[in-house]
Amino acid sequence: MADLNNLLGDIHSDEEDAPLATLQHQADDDNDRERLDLPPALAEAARKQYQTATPEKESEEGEEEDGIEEDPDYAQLKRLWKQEMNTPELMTHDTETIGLFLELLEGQEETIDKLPSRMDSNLAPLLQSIYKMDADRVRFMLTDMTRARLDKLEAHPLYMREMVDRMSEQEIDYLKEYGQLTERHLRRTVLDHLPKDAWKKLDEPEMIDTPNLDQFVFCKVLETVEIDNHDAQGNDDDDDEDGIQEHKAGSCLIARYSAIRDLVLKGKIEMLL
Amino acid sequence: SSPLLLLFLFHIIMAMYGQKGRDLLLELKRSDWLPPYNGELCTEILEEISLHFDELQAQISGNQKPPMEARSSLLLHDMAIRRNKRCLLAYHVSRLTALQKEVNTGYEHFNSAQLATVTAESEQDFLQQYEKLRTNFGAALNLDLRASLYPPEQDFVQVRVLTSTLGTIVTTSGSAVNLQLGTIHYLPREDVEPLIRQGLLEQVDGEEEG
Repeated sequence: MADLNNLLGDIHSDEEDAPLATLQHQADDDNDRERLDLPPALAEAARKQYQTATPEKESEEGEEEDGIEEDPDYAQLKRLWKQEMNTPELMTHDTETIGLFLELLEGQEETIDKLPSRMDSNLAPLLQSIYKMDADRVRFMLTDMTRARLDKLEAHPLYMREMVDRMSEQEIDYLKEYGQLTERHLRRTVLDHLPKDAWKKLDEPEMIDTPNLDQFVFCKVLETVEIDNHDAQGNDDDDDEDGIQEHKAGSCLIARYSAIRDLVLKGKIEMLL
Repeated sequence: SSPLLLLFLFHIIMAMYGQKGRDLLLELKRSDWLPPYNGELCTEILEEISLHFDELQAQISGNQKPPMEARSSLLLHDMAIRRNKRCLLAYHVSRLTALQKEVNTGYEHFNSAQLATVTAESEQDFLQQYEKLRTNFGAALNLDLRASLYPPEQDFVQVRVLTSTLGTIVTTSGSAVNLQLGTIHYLPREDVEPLIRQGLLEQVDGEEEG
């Protein structure tokens, strides 16, 4: 029994050592480069290589979590993405961060292609795939977020007309065009066949549906806040308390979105996936 | 007995107000995805609306205010018209939403030929313009909104070819790959993702199954 356990242990440690061994071997071959320390994560290896190599590349690949200045942007992008995915209503468009990453993505392909000429050919494919993964991640977040926003616009187009201050220029144009497209279609199929104008309207107040602001969401409290738990009808059958609850920073909650809406918009509560 | 007969018929017709609207929506609800566009039923509902309207017209003769007794009937017809309108609008909008979703995920379940059998001409026009709208929006941002549907896990994936209709493709890295039925290839994820979604390729996990 004891032997079997040891045997398995040997097998595992053998597997771990093998990739490290090859890296060491490659590093030994470059006499003119600084020797790589060898932590397990490949990203660490790339970072050390990058930092000892050309420093002027810093401006181009900002998304890796190595440069001190770029990390907060990446974190911001991630936060924007999480928020957009988890809130029923449209979030404010962060033109700065999104613009930054769109630009970075454009420059990325060039950077990736130029890598082999700048460094040792053994490591270049490795770094290329790392940078590519990073670019893919950023692209995924941007695409997913954009899709979520467009889906929200399309789900409640009439309601979204009032939330224009949260959209970018292109989104406003998109909403207009989409609205026209839908209206044209509905006119063609239904409304034009109705007898009188009074029935042809699409935007009477009762007809506009709003996103469900009462849905429950997972969230995390960033600063200590007070949440008023009363809803419009005061339906608080479970709680006999006042309804105003205080929550300390760092606690995670499931809450009705309408109760925490203001705090989310002020940035005191963030969404969790 | 003829007034009785008339009353009987009238009663039957009365009981059917609003039935067609309901049937239309039930058809939508009961199908797996979308039933073919039921243009006939929509036309019938529109006819029902004009019948209601005719009734209304008949009661508002001239410019005099209709008598109190007539008010409830007027209200009934107005509400019936609004209800039918609502059913029709709901039907069309639900169909549009389902169709849009299909377009947005890159025709995952049905290709455009199959969609053509299910949609009306007006819906096809809508979809064409909608697709253009979305693609232009993505292009302005330099993002392909139909790619990257799942978070990226690996750079390259191993795939097995499931149909024999694919032939040779050129990957983003420039190499040409001949996709014959049953062969397994190691390809960049982005080339392969749309094909996997359409069911033409199958992702092979690293684990061997017997």
